[in-house]
Amino acid sequence: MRSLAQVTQVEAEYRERVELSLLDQPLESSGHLSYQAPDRLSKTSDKGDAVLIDGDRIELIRGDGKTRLRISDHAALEGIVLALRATFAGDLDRLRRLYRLDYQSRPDGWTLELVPLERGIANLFQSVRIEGVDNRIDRLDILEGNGDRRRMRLTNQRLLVCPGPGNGCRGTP
Amino acid sequence: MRLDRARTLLVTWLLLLLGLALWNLDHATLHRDLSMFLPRTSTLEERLLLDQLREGIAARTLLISLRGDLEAERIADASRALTETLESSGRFRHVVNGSGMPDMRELGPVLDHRYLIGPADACLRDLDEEDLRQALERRLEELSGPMPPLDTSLIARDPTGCFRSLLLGLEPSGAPERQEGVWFSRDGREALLLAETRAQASDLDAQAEAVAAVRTGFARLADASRLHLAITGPGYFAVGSQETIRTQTIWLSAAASLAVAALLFAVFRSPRLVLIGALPLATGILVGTSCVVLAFGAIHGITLALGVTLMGVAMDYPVHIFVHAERRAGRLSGLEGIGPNLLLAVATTVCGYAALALAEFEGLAQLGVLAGAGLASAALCSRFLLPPLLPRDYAWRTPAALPRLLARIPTLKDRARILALGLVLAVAGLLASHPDPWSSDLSRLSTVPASEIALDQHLRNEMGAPEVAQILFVVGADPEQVLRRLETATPALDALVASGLVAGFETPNRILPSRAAQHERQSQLPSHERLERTLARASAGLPFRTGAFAPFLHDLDLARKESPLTPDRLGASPIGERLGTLLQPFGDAWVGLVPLIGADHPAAIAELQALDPASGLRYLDLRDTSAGLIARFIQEALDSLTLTAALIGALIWLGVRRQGRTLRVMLPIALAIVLDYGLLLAIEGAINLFHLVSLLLVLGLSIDYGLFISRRCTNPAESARAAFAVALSALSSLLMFGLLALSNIPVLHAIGLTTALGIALALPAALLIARPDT
Repeated sequence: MRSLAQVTQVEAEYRERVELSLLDQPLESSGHLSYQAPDRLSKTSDKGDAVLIDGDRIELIRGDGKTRLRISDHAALEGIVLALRATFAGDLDRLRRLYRLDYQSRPDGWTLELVPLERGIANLFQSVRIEGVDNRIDRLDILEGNGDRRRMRLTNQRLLVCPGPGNGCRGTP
Repeated sequence: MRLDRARTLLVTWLLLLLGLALWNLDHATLHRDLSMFLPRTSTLEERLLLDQLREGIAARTLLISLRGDLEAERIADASRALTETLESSGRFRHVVNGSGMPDMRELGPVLDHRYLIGPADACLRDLDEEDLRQALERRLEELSGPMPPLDTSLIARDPTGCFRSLLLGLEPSGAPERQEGVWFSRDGREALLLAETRAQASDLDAQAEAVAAVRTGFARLADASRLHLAITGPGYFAVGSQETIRTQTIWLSAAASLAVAALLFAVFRSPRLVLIGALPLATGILVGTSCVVLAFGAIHGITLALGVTLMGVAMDYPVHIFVHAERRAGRLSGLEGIGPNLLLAVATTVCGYAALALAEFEGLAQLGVLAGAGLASAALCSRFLLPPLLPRDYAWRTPAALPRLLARIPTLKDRARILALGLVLAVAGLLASHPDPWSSDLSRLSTVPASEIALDQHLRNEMGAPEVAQILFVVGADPEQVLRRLETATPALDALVASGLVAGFETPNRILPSRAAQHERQSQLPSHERLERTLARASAGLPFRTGAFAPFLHDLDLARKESPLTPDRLGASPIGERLGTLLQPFGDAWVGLVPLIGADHPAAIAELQALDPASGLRYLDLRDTSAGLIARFIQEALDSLTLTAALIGALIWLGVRRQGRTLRVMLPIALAIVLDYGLLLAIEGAINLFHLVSLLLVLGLSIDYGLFISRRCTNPAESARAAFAVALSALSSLLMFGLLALSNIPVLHAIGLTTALGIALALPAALLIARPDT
C-alpha cells in the first residue's frame, strides 16, 4: 500500500452505486476521476457535474452553477477530502491523525478500513473501506452515518509512477 | 515683611489653584456626547439621528481592506487570520470576511419555523405538484452527483430546499464576490472585512482601542510587510480626527505660549512677571470649569476647547496691570486710572458671554458659564492679586519715543467718525443682505481628509455596506406593528431597487416576518392530506422510498399549528442579534431601520425624500438632519448675540457716558466685527459655528481696546502707556491666534483666522478712532 506514494498521477473511469435509505433502489452514475500528487483530485460525472479539489480549495460545478469553498471552513468536508487524498498519496501518518486504520493484506490485494476518531466526522460517515492491488486503488466504499452507502469502482486506470529521485517515471497503460 | 506677605499670597494662590485643579480632576467628567449640543426639545428625527450616530450599526462598523500584489490565496489567508485575531480580541461583536457557515445549532428556531418565515418560492410555491416534482428531481441529481450533500437527512426534512433559500436570503443583498471563500474586491486585489465594534460609536476611547486592535492584528500577519491595510468608517475617522486635533492643539498652543512669553519677556525684562502673568488665565480656566461642573454636573469637550479660546481675553489683563502699576517701597499706585476701565471691560464682556448661558443648547449654555465665570475671576485676580506680587519697587519705564510715535498716528475728528459709522452701517447692511452666509456643511467642521472619504466610498461600494448617512425607518408601538408596516412598504422599496436607483436595502422583516404574515403563511400551507397526495403524485416514478419524506410532512404539520416566531425567541443568537440591530426599542415605541446600500446620489436621494408618507417609511439623511441642527445652533447663537450687543451697548453707555465717549468706544468694536465678518465671508465663503464663537472673542477683545484707548489721560506719557498696553496685548493675541490660523484642521484654522483678522482690524481702528481728541 505504501507504494501508492510513488504514484504521482491517476486517470480512471469510475462507476458509483449509491444505496440510500431515502431510495428504494440504488442510483448508478459514472464518470472520470483524476488524481495529481500531492493534493489535486477531481471527479467529473458523465452528465457534466464535477467536483475539483485543489489544495484547500474545492469547486463544485452543478448544471451551470459553480460554488467555490475553502475546505478548511467545513470540518466534515475536510474529514472526507483528507481521507481520500491521503489514501491516494499513501500517507498513512496523516490518516492516523483522524482515523483508526485497519490494514489487511491478501495474496490478491489489500484492504484498508478507516473509522473516524472524531465524533463530528463519525456522525456523517461511519467508515471508509478501500481495496486495491499493489499501487492501485480499485474500490472505495463509504458507509455514511445514517446507513447510506456509496460504492465506487475504478477501472481503465492509467498511472504515472515515479519511484524516487533520479529514477525517472514510467506510465502504466 | 511685605515680601513675606507677597510670598504668602503667592503660595496661597498657587495652593488654591492646585486645589481647584485637583477638584476638577476628581469631579469634572468630560463628555464627548453630541447630545449636549442638541436643543432640549428635539424632533423624532433628531433623536433617532443621535441614536444612530451613537449606536447605529453603520456608525459602529469599521471597513477593512487588505490589498497587495500577492496571490489571492495568500491574501485570503491573511483575511482569515485577521478575522480570527479580531474575533478573539473581544472588542468586536462580529467580524465578517465572507467565509464560514452559520452555526446550525443557533439556527434551530429558524429551521423549525422555516415554512412560516422562509422565502415564498422555495417554502410555499414549491409545495405544488409541478414544482415539488422538479425539486425532487434536482435532489436526485445531487444525490448521485460527484459531490453529494454531506447531510442527506436534511433532504428528507426539506426536499424543496426551503431552509437553504432562507439562509441565502439572509445574506446581505450587495455582498461582494467571494474568492478563495472570502470577500474580495471586484479587481481581485483586496480582501474585504467588516468589523462591528461592541463599543458605541461615540465612545472614542473604545473606538481608538478597536482601531489599534486591527492595526496590531494586521502587523502580526505573516504577509504584513507585503500587504497594505486600509481602515475606514465613522469610528476610525472620529479617532483619527481626535488625534490630529489633540496633537496640533498641543503643538500650536505650546509654540504660541512660548512666543507670547518671549514677547512679554522682551518688553518687561522679568521672568517673574511673565510667570505671574499666566496666573489669572489659569485661575480663570479652573474657576470656569468648576462653575460649569457645579452647574451642569459635567463638561463637554467642545465647551472646554471653545471656552478656553474665549478666555483668550484674559491674557490681556496682566499686561495692562504691568504697564500701569507702580510700586515704591511696597506702595502701589498708577492703577486708579485703569481700574474702572478694567472692571467695565470685564463687566461688558462677561455680560456678553452670559447671554450664551441662557441658550437652549446645553453646550452653548455651558460655554457662556465657563467663559463668563472664568473671565470675571481672571480679571479680579489681575486687578487685586497681581499688583501685590509685583517687585517691591516697580515701574515700567515708558520709552521716550513712545509718546512721539503715538502722536504721529492721526486721530479721526468727529465728522470722520460719523463717516466711519456710516461706512460700517453700510457694510453691515450689505452683508446682512447676503442670502445664505451660514455654513452648515459638516465637512467644514470635519477633519477627515478628502482622500480618506474617497477610500471610504470605494470600500462601501465594494462591500455593499450600508450608507452611514442615509437610512429609512418606520416607527410603531411594538415590534409587530413595525414589522407589519415594513411589510406594507416593502413593494415600494423593491421598486426602488428594480429601478436601479438604489443598489439594495436591508430590512428586519427579511429576517423575521410579522406574526400576521406568519399566520397568513400558515393559512396558505396545504393540508396534510393534500400535501401527501401532491407528494405521492410528484414522486411517482422516482426511486424515493414510500414514506421517505415523513419528516417533511411532519415538519409541515408542525408549521401549520406552530405559534409564529417572535424576536424574543431568536434571543442572542447571531440572527437574533442581527435582527436587534434593525429592530429596536425607541423610547416607548419601537423603530425598524432600513439601511440603504448604494443610495448616495442625487436621483436616489430625491426619490427617497419623495417616498409616500402613507407608507410609514421615513427617510433620514443624517447630513441634512445634523446640518439642520447646526443651523438651529447658529440661529440661537445669533439670537443671543443680538441680546448681547444690546446689553454691551447699554453697559458701555452707562459706564462712559459722563466722558461722552460712547461712540469712540463702540465704533472700533462695530468696525472690527463687521469687517471681520465680511472678510471671513470673502475668504472662507461661509460662516460656520467656530467662526461665530471666535467673533464673540473678537468682540471681547475689541471692547477692551476701545475702553483703554479712549480714556482721557492726565499727560501724554499716560496715554502712551495706555495705547502701548493695548498694542502689546493685541500683538501677543495676534501671535497666538495667527499661529492657530496656520493649522490645516478646519476647526483650529477657523478660530485662528477669525480672531487674528479681528485683532488686526480692532487695534488700528481703536488707535484711529477711539483716542480722545487732544
